Amino acid sequence: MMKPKTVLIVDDSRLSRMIIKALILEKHPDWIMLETTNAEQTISMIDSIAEPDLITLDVNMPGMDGLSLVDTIRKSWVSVPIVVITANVQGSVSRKCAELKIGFVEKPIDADSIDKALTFME
Amino acid sequence: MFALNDLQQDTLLEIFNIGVGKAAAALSKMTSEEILLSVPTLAFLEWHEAVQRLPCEGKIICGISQRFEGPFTTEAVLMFPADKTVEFIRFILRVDSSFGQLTEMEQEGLCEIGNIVLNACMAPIADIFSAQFRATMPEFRIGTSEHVLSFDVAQTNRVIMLMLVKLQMEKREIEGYLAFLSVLPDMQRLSANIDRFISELPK
Repeated sequence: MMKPKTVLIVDDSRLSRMIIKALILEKHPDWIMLETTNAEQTISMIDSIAEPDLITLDVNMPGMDGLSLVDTIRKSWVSVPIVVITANVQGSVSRKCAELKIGFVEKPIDADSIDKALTFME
Repeated sequence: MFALNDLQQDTLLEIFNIGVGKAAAALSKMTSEEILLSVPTLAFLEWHEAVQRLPCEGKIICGISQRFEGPFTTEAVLMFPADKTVEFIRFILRVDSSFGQLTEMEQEGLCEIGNIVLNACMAPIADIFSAQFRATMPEFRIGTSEHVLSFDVAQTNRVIMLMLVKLQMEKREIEGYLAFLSVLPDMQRLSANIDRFISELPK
């Protein structure tokens, strides 16, 4: 039997965290979902938890933005798959995601967005 | 006094965040520049307080506004400081001129840009609420924030809801703002729509 995966959701919006969590659990009820609401909280959590199997990351958050957080995450978790889930759908943001070799999924979030986000774990 | 609970506020800001993201993408396409976005803020204020809340308060600003009527009604305004508006529109229209004031053609251009940006913002909000908005024609105004935000319906209501987002062109030092003003009956309709949306979320 496969070990349940762990997903870390980084998003300042409670609504978005709720939707991402609900849609992933709908497909994978045994997966472990962790949540943080900003970059600073994520950084303080990095050393105290095991590397997750996937990180979903918002871009526009109070304090440090999501894209700036990627480097810090990579220092501890070198190869963790990261997928940005954002309302900031400008070409420049998707290009930065490509440069950082992380996924890019547009909000609003639905089941198809989650399917797309989960492909970055493969 | 009207208030939204924490989840309703979070939902409203996130829904507008999606709209603002689309608006920024439209603006980015027109300017070929990245648009830096602030995190949207939401406040319930009296009209005169809302006017003072604008970061360009006291300066002459240009605003393009449209009224959107649908699941709720809102006055949406795209604003730039007047001196930067001239630079902004000439950059988009590729016009090289030292004339200090906006020409009629430039004002028309601004109305069309406002129309594109504001509709890009409201369209995903309509989709999320499974509804549609009717938009008035874009209106150009120049003056103080009191003038640009002088909507009859806002001034005659005791409390208005103001949502504000800063848009900044990355390379050129041009900042703009998107503001959305709604009054009490519309806030109540908006609140009902948010509750319906939340109740239909996957559990």
